[in-house]
Amino acid sequence: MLYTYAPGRPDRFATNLLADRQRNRLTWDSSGGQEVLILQTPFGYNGGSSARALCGEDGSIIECVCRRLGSMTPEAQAYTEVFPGVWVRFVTPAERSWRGCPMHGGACVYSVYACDRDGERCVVYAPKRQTMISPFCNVPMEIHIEAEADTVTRRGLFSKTERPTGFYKIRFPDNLLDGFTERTLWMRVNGVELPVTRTMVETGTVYVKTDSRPTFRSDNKGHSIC
Amino acid sequence: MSVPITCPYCFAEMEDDRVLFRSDRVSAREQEIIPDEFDDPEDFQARYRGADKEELLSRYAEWAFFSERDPFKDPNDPYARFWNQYGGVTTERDSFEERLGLLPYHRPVIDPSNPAHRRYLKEQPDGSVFVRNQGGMVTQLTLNSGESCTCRVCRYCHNPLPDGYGKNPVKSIALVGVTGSGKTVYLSQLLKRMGDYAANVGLDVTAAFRSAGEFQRENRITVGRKLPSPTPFQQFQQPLFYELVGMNEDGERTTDTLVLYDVAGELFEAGNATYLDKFAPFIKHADGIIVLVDPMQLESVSGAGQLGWENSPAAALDAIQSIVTDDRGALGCTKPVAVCLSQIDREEAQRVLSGELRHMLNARVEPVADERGLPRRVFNAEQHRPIAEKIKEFLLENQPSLVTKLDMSFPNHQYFAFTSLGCAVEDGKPVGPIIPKRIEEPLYWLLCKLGLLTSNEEARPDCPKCKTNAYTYRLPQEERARRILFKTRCRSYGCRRCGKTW
Repeated sequence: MLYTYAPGRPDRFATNLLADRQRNRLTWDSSGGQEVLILQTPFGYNGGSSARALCGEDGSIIECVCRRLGSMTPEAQAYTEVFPGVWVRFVTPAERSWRGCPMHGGACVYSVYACDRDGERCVVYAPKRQTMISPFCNVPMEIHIEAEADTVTRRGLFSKTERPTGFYKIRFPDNLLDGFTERTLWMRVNGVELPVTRTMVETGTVYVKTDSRPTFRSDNKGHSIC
Repeated sequence: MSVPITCPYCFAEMEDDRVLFRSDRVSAREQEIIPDEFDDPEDFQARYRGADKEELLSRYAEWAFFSERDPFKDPNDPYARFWNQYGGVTTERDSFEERLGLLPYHRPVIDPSNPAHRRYLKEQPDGSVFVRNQGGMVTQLTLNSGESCTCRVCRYCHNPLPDGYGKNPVKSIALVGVTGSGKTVYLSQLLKRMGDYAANVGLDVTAAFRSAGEFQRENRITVGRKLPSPTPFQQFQQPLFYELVGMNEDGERTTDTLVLYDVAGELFEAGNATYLDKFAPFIKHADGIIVLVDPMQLESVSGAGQLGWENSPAAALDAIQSIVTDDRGALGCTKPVAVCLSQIDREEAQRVLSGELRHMLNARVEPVADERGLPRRVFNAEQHRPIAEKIKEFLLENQPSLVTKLDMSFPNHQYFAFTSLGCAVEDGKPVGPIIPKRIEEPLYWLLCKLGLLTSNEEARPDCPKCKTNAYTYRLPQEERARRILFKTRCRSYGCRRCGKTW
């Protein structure tokens, strides 16, 4: 399918994108019966940002995404990764009415674009900028990573003692996995900075051999680690 | 048992069995009872010798009684007397009847207490001519010819009362603000989505009278269509009536009537005090007031030296205060007043608002849900509070006189900001897409103050000195405990008015 990024039309609009945190959904306003494209980008970038840093190409991120989509088939009713950290999802009017569009994690920016499919051609329309209503939505994310010294219990005749094992137990939250991008979250262990990988986050709980409590930092400005 | 009714137009009080009715039956415009050779009924009476003369005269009298009449042709007509105060033009409309060629206020008015009128009314089983609803309130008359007259009118001004008006508690809200502050656009947008907004606070809403539909028809807001013209300031706009139905905490169904008044903006300008007096009753009798402030009324937005006193937001408040308190009484105006910055999506306003406030205003008004996820009858004060504080901070910096006036003379007030359109306007037409933001919030707050909603805000106690909680605030953490010598003094609340802490 050929994807084209075209100037906006008054009768084809999608804007006022908001994140409903309680129901973990995105909401927006659009022209009647309008299919939309939801674009998820790392925090600090939206669809109109330059694609040089993220995609290594000229033009805006949405333009690069349209070019790349021409050679792939996005999944139906799911987010598809187009570039590292850049995801897209098409939402039909029926899907929006029935279930809405779920969010795909936080610490990112969502953008909404009106689009029209016609056979093998899909036109994605540029959003109209209004002073207050925006087609972009920043979603910061608070991450709570538990890191506690792992101990083993030794029972004596009349007492029991907790003895450290020399490991730290690190528990990653479930909500970190959606939209997770490799090499954005770092763990500092014994003075050495190690990347937190997707496998570690999927595992949920990992053990690290260290005497001091590991610390964490994120390259993603949308992450707030506590 | 009689039901007391206060007319929403002239505010006269009457019992439900003292109201009048507009006749459902209207005679044909041309009478065909008296033969053409007679000039008029008097000529017929003088010259006609037929045996059916009395019968014909009786039928003619009945035709004449039920003929339509223009109240404005009779200066003593109560309807004309009322509307002559407001430029001699009635704003009552009924599109359906007008298509049939009949103006609603041309229908004859029947007084059930008048013997000359009673002879046309059918007696009911209880011996009266009234048909009552289940609650015992008079709702209609039945004519001998079979028609049911259900349109009640005020006994004193002959203005129509909505169906069932008086059966439920009535709460009225007046919408005021200078010309161009956006009152009509705001009302139109609010009414358009009234059902959704009411549902978000657990209420069901129905328009109780055609005035709401007529208002929306005449003031439709769509992309590419010219915005409504400013309300002519001598005209009185029809009140808008809604029924709000909800469940209280005991699971009982409650119904309240909400009346909205749109007051023209020029009334608040200097030189129009005479006209303001005519509209004073609507503000005086209002249970709550929404004051719209166009951000362009602030010098920091419109530019230094651009404004005169008449454009100042305080001008409308001064007018309200002079109406509500006869002698600027010590307590000021105790009615709840929602002070709203309108049109905040304008470039000029967006430039001066802080990023944090802009972000908060862009979010939607979140309902407070119960365990099933259904909205409760609660105003989300917790979400609104930081917005109000930011708006107050902004006004303190840019229009401190407004904040001082509100604090001193309107102790029961709150700050709001919204946009009714959310898009630019070019050549008087919205460019689109039209997306209002937070326009329902002032209404929610007022409904909370009027007892129709509760609030999720922590209750504030009354100040022991001022005896009111209007100025009570919770002390910041760092001020709550103070060590004096060997004792630690703990305080939780303070009063901004007298400075007391407790």
